[in-house]
Amino acid sequence: MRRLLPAVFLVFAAAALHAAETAYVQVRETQIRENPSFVGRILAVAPYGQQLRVERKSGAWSLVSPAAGRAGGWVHSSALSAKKIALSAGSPGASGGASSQEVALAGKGFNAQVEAQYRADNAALDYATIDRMEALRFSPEELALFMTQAGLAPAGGGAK
Amino acid sequence: MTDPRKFLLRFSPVPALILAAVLSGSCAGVARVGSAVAQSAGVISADQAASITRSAEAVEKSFEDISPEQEYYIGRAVGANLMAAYRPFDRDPATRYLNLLGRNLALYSDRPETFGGWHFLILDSDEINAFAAPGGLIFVSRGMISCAAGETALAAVLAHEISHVQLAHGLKAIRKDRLTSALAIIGTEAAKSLGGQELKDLTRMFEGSITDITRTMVNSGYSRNLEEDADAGAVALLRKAGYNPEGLAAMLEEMKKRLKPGGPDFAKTHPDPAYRIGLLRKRLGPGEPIRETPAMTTRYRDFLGALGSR
Repeated sequence: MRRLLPAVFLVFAAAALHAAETAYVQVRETQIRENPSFVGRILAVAPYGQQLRVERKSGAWSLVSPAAGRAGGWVHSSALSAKKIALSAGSPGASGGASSQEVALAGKGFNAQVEAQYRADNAALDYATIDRMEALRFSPEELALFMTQAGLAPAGGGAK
Repeated sequence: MTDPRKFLLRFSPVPALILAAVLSGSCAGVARVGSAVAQSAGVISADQAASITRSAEAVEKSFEDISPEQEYYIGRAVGANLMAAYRPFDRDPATRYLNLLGRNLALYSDRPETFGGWHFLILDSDEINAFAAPGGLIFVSRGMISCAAGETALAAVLAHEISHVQLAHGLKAIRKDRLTSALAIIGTEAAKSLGGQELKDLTRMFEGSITDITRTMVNSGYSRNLEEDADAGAVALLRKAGYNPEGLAAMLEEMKKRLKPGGPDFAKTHPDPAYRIGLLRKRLGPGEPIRETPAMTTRYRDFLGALGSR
């Protein structure tokens, strides 16, 4: 067992050297923050499909940068996908033999066009209420205040 | 107002198997129909079974191919169906309070970020009910809120619904064959733009998928296993956010008192509260009494005031 340890260490060291991987923003937009926390200061906003370099991970958070050597910040990993998100059929990677396992075409499949057709076919649906639901926004400060006001002591998780 | 369930049932022809189960009545009976394909394996030929297994495997692989963006459109449609049947109670400060509570809880889930974000709405209905549409649209009835003695209990309801979204239970209610066909079209579509016939086909599959989810949420309920997973997820979520998970037990105790067997609401779509309490007690042990800070008590009272509750 003792002899195995250096080997195991080497494997981990090699993995660490190659840790930088590519990820894509898979939500409409996400915030790049100074610290791995939802109360961390927002440095930038990354839009859907943006390619990022993942330098390292800490719990559910990824330290990302737009490119090698460029300053970056923290993004919650639930906003990221390892699968390339191509914003249109013409964009790099969207053709050239990449399979649907590797590339997701943004705006394809069940999309705004399908929704429009579905709505046209089903006039009784109440999309107006759903749009109003989605329109309600809070600042990060307002959200954080709600928890501190209550005197809650979160045990951990994404917001920590 | 018309009965929401009748309205929702009108949306598409109900497959005979599920209809039969619904008509047969018992909640558990309906829940077991969750995987109708697997259930019927005993009464079909070997060839059919093999074909079903193949398509199930294809779905297993492609299930994750429903991108967060597509999940978002599915969720919006499920929500739009619900809101065709229920009236919203969309008034500040009640809506703001519910969203502040819900969105803070969601930050502690495994999926704080969904494509379109987490959004919560009160349904202006006395029935005891709550729904979670894929992507993070969550609906809670006034009747359900009136069962919650305090913020901790309401947090437990929201945490249970957030867990349904996080565990993709809605998406899993989409019929396997439908999902396979839809993903096949979506796969070929990548090469070219969406043609007229494809749009028609895809919209038909979209409509079918929405009906699958809505019917499961509103009429048949998820399987007992999925509900147990959502309760377990709720406990973990409450703990992480700093809420006492006893809120869930308190909520279930109140629902046990108020839900009428055979009722059209949670009584129909969820396992018996007493059964859920039993499992929860095993998970939580004796538990700590719920203590809320004065700030929590005050703002919850204000919330109920804004709702016009007794």
